[in-house]
Amino acid sequence: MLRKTALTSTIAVGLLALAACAPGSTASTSATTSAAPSATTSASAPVTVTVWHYWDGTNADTFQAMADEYSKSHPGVTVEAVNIPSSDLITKIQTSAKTDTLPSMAIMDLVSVPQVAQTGKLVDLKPLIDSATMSDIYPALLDFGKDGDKQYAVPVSTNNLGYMYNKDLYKQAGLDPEQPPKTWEELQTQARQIKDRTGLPGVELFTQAGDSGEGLTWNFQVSLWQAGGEFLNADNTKAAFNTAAGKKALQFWVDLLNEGLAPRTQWGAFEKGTAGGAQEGTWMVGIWAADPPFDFGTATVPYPSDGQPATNMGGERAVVFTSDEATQKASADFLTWFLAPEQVTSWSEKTGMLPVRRAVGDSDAYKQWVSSTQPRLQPFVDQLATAKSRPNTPLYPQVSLAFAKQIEKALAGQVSVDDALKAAETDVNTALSAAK
Amino acid sequence: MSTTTTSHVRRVRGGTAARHILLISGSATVIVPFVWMFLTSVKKRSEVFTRVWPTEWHWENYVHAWQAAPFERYYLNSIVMTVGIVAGHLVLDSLAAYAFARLRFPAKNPIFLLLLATMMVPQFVTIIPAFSLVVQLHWTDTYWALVVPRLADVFGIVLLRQYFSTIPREIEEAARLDGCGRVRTLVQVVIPLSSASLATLAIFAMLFAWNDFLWPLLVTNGDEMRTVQIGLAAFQGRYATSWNYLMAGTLTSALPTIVMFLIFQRALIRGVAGTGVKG
Amino acid sequence: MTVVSTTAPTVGRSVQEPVRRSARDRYDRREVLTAVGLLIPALVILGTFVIYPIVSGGFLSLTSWNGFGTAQQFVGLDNYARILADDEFWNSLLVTVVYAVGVGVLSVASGLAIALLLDAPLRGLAVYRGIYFLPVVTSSVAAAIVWRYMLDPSGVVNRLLSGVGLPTVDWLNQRWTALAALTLLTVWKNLGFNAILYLTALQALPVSLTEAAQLDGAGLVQRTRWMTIPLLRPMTFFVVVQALITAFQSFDLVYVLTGGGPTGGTEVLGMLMYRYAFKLGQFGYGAAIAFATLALMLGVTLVQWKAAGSGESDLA
Repeated sequence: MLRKTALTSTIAVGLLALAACAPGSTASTSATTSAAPSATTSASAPVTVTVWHYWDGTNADTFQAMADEYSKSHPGVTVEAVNIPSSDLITKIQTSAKTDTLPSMAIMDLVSVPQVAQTGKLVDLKPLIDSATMSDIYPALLDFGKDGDKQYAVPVSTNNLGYMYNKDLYKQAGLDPEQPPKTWEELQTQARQIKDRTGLPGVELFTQAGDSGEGLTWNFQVSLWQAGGEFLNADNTKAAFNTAAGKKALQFWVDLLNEGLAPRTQWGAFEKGTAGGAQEGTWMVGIWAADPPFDFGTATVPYPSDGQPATNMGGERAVVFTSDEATQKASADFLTWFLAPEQVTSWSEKTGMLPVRRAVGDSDAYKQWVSSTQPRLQPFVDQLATAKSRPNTPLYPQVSLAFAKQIEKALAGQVSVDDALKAAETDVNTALSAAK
Repeated sequence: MSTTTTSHVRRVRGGTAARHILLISGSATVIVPFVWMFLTSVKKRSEVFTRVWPTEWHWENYVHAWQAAPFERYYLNSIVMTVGIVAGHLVLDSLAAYAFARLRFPAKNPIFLLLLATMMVPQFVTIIPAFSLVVQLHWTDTYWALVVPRLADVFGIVLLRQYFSTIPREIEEAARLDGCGRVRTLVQVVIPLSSASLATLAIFAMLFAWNDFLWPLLVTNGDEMRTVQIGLAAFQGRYATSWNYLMAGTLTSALPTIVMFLIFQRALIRGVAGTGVKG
Repeated sequence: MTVVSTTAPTVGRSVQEPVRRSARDRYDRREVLTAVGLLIPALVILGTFVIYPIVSGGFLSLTSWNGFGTAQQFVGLDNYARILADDEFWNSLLVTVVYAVGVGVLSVASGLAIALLLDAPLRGLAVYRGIYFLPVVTSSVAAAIVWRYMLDPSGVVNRLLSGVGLPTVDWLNQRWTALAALTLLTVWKNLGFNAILYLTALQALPVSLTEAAQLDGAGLVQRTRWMTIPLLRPMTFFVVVQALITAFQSFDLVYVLTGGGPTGGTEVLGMLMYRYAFKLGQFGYGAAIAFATLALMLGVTLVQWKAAGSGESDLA
């Protein structure tokens, strides 16, 4: 009777009460105190710096170790690193911004910085990080996060796209595995030979827009820049790719696809061993080093013989969110430490990511390390000087998607190169004009 | 007489054989991806997409996957959250479903349709306002946030309402004539007769809770309160997915759900006293 | 089938109960109070954590909120007007409707088929049920990866096709075959759900009815077609609604299987909404798409409700 219902509800409530009293509930108090903007804390009060990032696996472990090292050597400050799965980091930042529960700082993909800046909760790091460090960072890396005279984000790692190729397949096709293509023309010739001798496509291109378009866009930008083109104009208000250079780059891709030298599928053929080569990022070197699916080589991305070397840069940026002064300062101090040459070296060597400051990247010690430990990284290091950065605008995700959706039609053979570029230009301009 | 019995038996056996054949061929397609998951979980990284059969069997992948994060804690949290949600659904949904199935009250159909409509609103629409509420209640990083907002759900109410309304009214009327009030009838008569649908709801609620990812991700900030799914998502990294560890972890996390299913599904067997209907 | 009508009272409304009450005693006060008491717990939870956020979200769909800043500019129905003019939305709607119809029909068919096959005293029943339940516990990501693998131009499926002399298909790189593949994957993934739902409903069917029909000489197929299936209409309604919801909110499976491609061929509304809300910084627009979709689904459901029966068991 009612007793039974009462009993069941009591059990349910009891379970909840039990749960609420479980160790979990004490965590809430510490979480909220560190995240909520509190009143001033005295100089000697312990400060917790929470860092949200999306690094995983050994990178996460390395970062955790460095955070622990800092905490140990800096009494009064504890750095807490929290991994957020990469596809949801920005969502979590969004919801936290709306509810005032942001962490002390976050590390995210460079492209996300302008959007996150819209929360209005980023701290200007220029006065908080010493100028010696700032000026030693490769200038192109400071693009994302720059707003006039202020600097809202600093790079903590960088990478770029290089050309990776399947040495086993090269040997099978009768090509010299130590002679990767240096120009577009060489790429075509080698790809043809691979196709003739092995039946497999010689190169893989990113041909589908997918959910974000960025895969296609950022790969294509390499070819665009190499042909001498630009993606957007200087103040990011209009498309700038519908030019002879843009046409040349797109035609190059379309020709490769039409000849069957590149497959018309979703990305993944090269990594499965069924394509001769592809543009891949620095990170693949580290990830594959221990246990590669096949013998692979790396090279700088081939460019047209009448063009220029160029590549696309990626990487992570760190931002500090507004909170109380002590936490902000502690966060910035941690960043300064992280950007010191010693840490930059250690971080780069352990993760295979490229150093963000010249004191390390140009140093003989680092070059020595590369050639003796990770020679495959050399082409990526060489490309540091010619790596270009994507447009620094919060509208970039929209622009990238709009661009990719039109271009993929040309790559699928559904429209002509000219039509695709024209349609992409229209859509990108529409997206850009939506700026309030 | 004997001829009819034999042919009847033969017909039944033929029917059974056909059933088995169909079920087995269906099973083959159904089981393949699961087999892939298993094979992947014991491969080394480089072989995940380049070979079907592993050259070496890396059973230690399971250990590595387990150690990659504080999964013991995650499992505990997932279990507490799931038990709370399942219990909540079973109790709250039954009460509401009975009201919809048997009682007459104003605005019954409009309210029901409103609830039905809420099922069709995707999670992302509600997630930010709901999260705001949870923050205001200071529930972040507690079991409250993981359980209470999901103590009831519309799916269960609709499912149970449907089932309750198929129970013959005579049975309930007999109980009422015996002096039972509405609620007592519900608890002592209707619920015991609904073990199949309650078991079904329990299975679905368990699956939903166990596999839930986005909400727990948003309302928890640290290892103490995180759930298994968040732990698994970390294997899908920014730059590469550790497929072998991910599959090992996924299979490990699927085990409790399979066990729970096998336990609950016994209630789905057609019982002799199942419907209690007189011819 | 005279058997049915004379034994009707075993399911549904009792014959003795009067169908109408006079307007005077429309509602029994005690009954209403009991109902309120029974509903309060669920409604409090749902009201606070589901309905209020939905209203809030609805309000957001009337703004140009970008999801990040605090600025929320009220734009009225602009977002909705934009939807009507958005080619991408219409493509997505077409894709999703085709997808939903496919998933709905096949979910009913496959769920019912498996449930019927399992609704017998077979040996190894528990094993079969366990096996058919496996796709439900297989992670969406893993399921999609495997299907992608199997549907590769040089994958298992094509090898089987050419093995029996049929032409191979480039499944995932052509618009409509990709959508077909996605549909099949979705149905496959939810097979266990639908089968269990139907099993539950089958369990509730009075055995006496079908036994009587059997004694009358009705064969298995006849009994199934003319008695079992109509009796299951309420559950079919439910399965179809669930299939609709799945199709309209699908994300994980699509994302991993095709990413929405090729050239928008599998770009379902679920992807579109989530993308605008969280990736492109147009939360207001994303919410508007969600509500527009909701209106559509409600419309379809209402039509179904009126036409096919809502969950109150009825017999001809």
